[in-house]
Amino acid sequence: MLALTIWLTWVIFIKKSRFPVPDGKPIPFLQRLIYRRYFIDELYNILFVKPYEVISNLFYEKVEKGVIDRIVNGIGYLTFEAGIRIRRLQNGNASFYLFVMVAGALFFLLFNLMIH
Amino acid sequence: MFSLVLISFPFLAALLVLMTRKAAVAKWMSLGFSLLQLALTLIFWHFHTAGGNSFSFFLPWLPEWGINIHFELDGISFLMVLLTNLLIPFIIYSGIYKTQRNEQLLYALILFTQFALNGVFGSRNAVLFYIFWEMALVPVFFILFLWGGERRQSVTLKFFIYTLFGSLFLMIAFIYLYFQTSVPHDFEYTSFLKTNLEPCNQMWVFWMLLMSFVIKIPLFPVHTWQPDTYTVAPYQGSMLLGGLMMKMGIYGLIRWVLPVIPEFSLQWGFWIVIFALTGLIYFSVIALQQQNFKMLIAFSSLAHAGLMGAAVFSLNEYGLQGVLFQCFSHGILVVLLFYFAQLIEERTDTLILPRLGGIKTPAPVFSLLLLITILGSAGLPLTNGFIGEILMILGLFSFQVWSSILGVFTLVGGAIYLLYAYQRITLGETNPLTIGFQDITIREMVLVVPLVLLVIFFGFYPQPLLNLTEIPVRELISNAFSSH
Repeated sequence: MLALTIWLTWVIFIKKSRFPVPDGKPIPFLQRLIYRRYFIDELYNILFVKPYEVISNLFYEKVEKGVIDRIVNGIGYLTFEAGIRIRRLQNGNASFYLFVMVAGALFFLLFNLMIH
Repeated sequence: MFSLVLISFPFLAALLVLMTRKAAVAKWMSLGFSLLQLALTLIFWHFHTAGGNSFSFFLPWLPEWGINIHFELDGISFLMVLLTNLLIPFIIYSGIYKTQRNEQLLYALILFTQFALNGVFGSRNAVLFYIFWEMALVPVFFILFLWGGERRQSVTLKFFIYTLFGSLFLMIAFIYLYFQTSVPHDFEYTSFLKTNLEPCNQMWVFWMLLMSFVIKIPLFPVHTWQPDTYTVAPYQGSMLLGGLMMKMGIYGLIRWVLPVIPEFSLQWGFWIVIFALTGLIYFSVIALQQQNFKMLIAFSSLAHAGLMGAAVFSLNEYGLQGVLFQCFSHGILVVLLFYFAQLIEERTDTLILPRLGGIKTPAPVFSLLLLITILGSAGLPLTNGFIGEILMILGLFSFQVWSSILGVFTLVGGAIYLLYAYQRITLGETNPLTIGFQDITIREMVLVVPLVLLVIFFGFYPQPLLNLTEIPVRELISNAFSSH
């Protein structure tokens, strides 16, 4: 076995001087297939790495930031905005309060009449 | 009595630290107290194992309403108390050489959090549990609010409102359960176990309790407070949140949901497992996208929490033992990860992964210790992360085979994003930021080495922790689910 290895090494590297082909020189298909490791890395890239990255980006940018975060922050924002708008009702004008009170009483009166 | 001493000692320690004049004294004093508390816990562990004693403490407080000071530390509670009291000294130590403002208050707040956490895990009365549950929120709120980074006001407010919102459901559910106990009503845990609820009422009590605990963990989709809060919080705050407070939610599910509302847990467990596992995959995928190391730790935590949440509802011994073990492991690992993040930020002034790289050459020991931590988080065999995950996956396998297949995604996803992060931090060429990266110092090793040793020790020999939880978990399952 050892002798065979020595002989093969001698044949390939010394007799035939088969050193790696220089970069840039075209390689025949079969050799290229082996040289590029059957394109397994490229296949992995297409099948797993790229889709993972695309989905990851989609989840983070669109779902996480675009939907879930927006719903939660939206609730906070709505509460804040509602506060700003509704506080205008409390303007300190007594006649306005009286008006709202009468309008409310009328509303309930009419509501009651409608039910019966 | 011993449980009362164990739980309330940090409160006294916090008061003493708060009254100290000199900041340096306060820091070392708080470290001393927390080590004393750890020693007390280890003594407790010895007696606990020796005699199987859970050191029940009962003192009527407002007996007419059934509110009592009732502590009991069975294996499940004790494991959580052990984790808390083990990590607090390290959390305190992580900032001890830094100068921060108002340090007396900061360290008192950390000890106060410890008190509240011990109380949460030890309480056997619903009102007492609720008080501690809310109390835990207050010191952490101030730690985040006063010592946090940019945007701390808005982020802390969101965190506070979100989790407080969850807690309100807890209160309503407890009040409802109170009225379902036999007359005279009381808030005792054992009385809650005996309640016999109508199926329609079980439903909303279940959802209310679930909501409050799930927000605290948090699980998908009520998690949005978490990544921001972890990132903005000062390191000690992040460690408290990720290492300890997240476990309050898991503990709550195991203690107050499964045994109290077993029928509905069985009925809805399937859907919660689906939700939690969806979250797991979702967060694992998102974690890859993170450029900030702290944010990556946050999403990694969320992914792990997803598996824990699913395993809780697998409702079998493997699953629950695994969850409890994983709580312990995750606590240690997350504190380590945040500490490494702190060291990286202190040395390079950035946590943005693409700006780092090549640290391995100037800092080989640092890189090795970080590697062990990362492999532990990714659940590599012979680290403590593996034991919890494999048990949880076994639990899910007994529950539904497909769920265990999805559960394995924590290991696969974890390996992808964590190793990718490790590659971006330590491998490759050095750059002007990392070329002078100082290797880990002796002072820093004082924190890192013991915790890394624990990561390996419990990976080899998980039995001491599993022994703690074995009997209580078996009892919990047989009492709650044997008749169904």
